Amino acid sequence: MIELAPNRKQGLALTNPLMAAPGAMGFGGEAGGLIELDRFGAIVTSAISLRPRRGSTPPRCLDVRGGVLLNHGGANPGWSRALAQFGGAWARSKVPLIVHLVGRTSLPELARRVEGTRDIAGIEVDLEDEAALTYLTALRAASELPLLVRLSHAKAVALAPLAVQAGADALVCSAPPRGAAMDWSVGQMVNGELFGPLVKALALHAVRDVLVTVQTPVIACGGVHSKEDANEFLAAGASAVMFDSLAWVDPRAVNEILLNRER
Amino acid sequence: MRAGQLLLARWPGRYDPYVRAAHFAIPSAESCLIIVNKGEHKARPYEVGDVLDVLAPVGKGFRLEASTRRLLLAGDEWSLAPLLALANEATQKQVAVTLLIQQSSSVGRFYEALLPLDVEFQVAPQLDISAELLDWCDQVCVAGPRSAYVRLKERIGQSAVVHTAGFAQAVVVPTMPCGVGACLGCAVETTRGLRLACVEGPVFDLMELVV
Repeated sequence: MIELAPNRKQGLALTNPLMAAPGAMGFGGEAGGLIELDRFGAIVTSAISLRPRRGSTPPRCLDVRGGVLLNHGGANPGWSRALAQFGGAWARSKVPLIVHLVGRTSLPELARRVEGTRDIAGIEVDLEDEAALTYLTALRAASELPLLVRLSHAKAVALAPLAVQAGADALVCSAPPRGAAMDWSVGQMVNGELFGPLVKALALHAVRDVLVTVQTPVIACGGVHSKEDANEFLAAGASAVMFDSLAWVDPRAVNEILLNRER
Repeated sequence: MRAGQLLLARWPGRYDPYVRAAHFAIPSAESCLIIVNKGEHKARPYEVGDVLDVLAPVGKGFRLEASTRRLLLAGDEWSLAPLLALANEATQKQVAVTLLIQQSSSVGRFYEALLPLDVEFQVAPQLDISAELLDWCDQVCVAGPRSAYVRLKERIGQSAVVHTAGFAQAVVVPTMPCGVGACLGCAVETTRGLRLACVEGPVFDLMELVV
């Protein structure tokens, strides 16, 4: 078993180190028809805010060489509707389900609502900069659930020890790096998060640097496209590894890795 | 697969291009034909013998109303595939079909062999649907450049006839990383809010589309 919240009474124990990153499976396992969700160690939902968010205006994504840029702008139905729509799927999950929450000032209220919801094993939030630490501290005070903090790629090393001080049980390294490219079909620049195999090198570099600064479990996230990629992160010292965009573009590969992880 | 549903394809084990290419298929008893615009693929076009990783069917496709007896289809030559599939479906239901084709390339009328014999087709350099054709049809389905959608919306809006929801349907195919509604990347703007093309599209009510 892999314990991601060793200092938390409830704990967050995984049967294997392979996780689904926020957005990989959707809010309630929309990708469940293609991927064997029960083989994950844990699943993180898409980002949910207190109130519904429309998200960014299209075009939201662009295929770039060897990857994709994505900017959905945090689109989500809001907590109440997400619970109504996906709560059943969450209850049926056979692996720990972690909700990814967004929204700074509303995080404590969101955390209280999550705390009162059955079938949620933990909370994940983003930490983009030092200014957000205040909200992280407030969230920590509002909930006893295991807390994963996903670090901004650009500031992962600087933010890691601060996140631990603010109450993170585990760190996710990292959020996707930012990128931009021109969509010539509509004559518009697309700014967003960058996904693809090349991100692995960036993420691995960040994971190794972060591990030097903290004693807390670190979950690697970024660019995993093979069993070998996952093993690289684990060999570097990560406690667990998340799949993100591979689940979208090649769910068969994810299934094979989940099935053959010990071979 | 139904007309207007997508087939997403990629070469297994390769990640450039990263996102699956979106195609419309024209199914038949023996096989499934897809038409690929040579400009769609940044690597190379498909070749006979290629093994592809396919996700299909994606989306909801066209909705042919039971009361439709006269169907108007319009598109440019590289967007015809969903319309060809719909022409096949419609003629099997004894619906009269007229197809307008905007042809601007010199590729030749490859689509002629794919059309049912009783479909009337007209070729023109611009896709412009006349008021007379709109009055003739019970439904109109389009696939092509956004400029054509804008013109058609205006023409329908100016029509003296009040058309019901679903009278005009249009195809919009954004980049689709996942095809199952998980990534939220394929949003299309409509008057009812943002809709995911892989779940609720890629066929949309034209009058609800924000173009």
